[in-house]
Amino acid sequence: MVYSDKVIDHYENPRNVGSLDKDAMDVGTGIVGAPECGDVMKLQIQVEGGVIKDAKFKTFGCGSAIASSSLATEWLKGRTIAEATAIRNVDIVEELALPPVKIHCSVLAEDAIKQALADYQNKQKGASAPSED
Amino acid sequence: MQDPFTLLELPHTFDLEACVLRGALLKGSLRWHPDRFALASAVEREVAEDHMAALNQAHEKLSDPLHRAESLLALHGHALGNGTDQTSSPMFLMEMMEMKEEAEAALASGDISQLKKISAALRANEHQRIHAITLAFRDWETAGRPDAQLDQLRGLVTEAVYVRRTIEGMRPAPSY
Repeated sequence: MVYSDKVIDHYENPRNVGSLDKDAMDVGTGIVGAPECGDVMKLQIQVEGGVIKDAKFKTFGCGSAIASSSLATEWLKGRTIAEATAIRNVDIVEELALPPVKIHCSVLAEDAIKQALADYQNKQKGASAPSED
Repeated sequence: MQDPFTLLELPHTFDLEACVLRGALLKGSLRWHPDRFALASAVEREVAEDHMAALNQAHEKLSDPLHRAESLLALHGHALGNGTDQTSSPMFLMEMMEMKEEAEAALASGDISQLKKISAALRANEHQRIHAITLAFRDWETAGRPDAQLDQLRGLVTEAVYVRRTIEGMRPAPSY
């Protein structure tokens, strides 16, 4: 299979690899997987005043899965929650010129973003609601 | 395309011992082996070769308990998903990620004994899961194959597939 230059660039120089404290109140974590290939992708965001200040990822998978999540973290930084919600897998497919067999990698990245945002928003809800224990 | 059970003239059940599977393949071979078609027309020979290849594939598939479970689930409209996994818990995915991280670190530092330890732990994990799947399919069949249990069965098989892929991924070959 022929990968685009952008995929190879992200694969060889992945941006924002690493972890944030998943228990921190201002961090949202998304973890998703694709069983048929065994890929696992973790994507985390750190939010300050409604804006994503930092984003990190760790992906075990093929070049396209790594490139998709690397690109996602680049795009997330500096966006508001609402803007982040608008990121679609087709945007990733287009930017990286992913072939049809690798589209599921971009879906994985979109799902990871959604989960991370949902996790962050849940934490904020939990913080404003009275403690139950 | 016929399902592997039908091809080998076997019942649609998880409970198939290796000797039963071998017997079914042997029975099919007696009828379809290309040697029996040495004097037949080219077309007939080709049909026999294709059929024999399909029988071998079906045998290989059903000999593996995870593939056998996948085949049964697919026959009941619960094929393993393509794309994002909606069944596994984040906790399980995190556990797999940590295993992969440990393996990656061991590989990077050339710590072969640690790598072997992780690999052995994963194999034991896979083995336990296959045992649990065997029991779960037995219960399901005994209970008259209720649809309500299919999601749970698929979940068990999905997680076992992850563990297996993780073991395969530990071989030091880039997947890219």
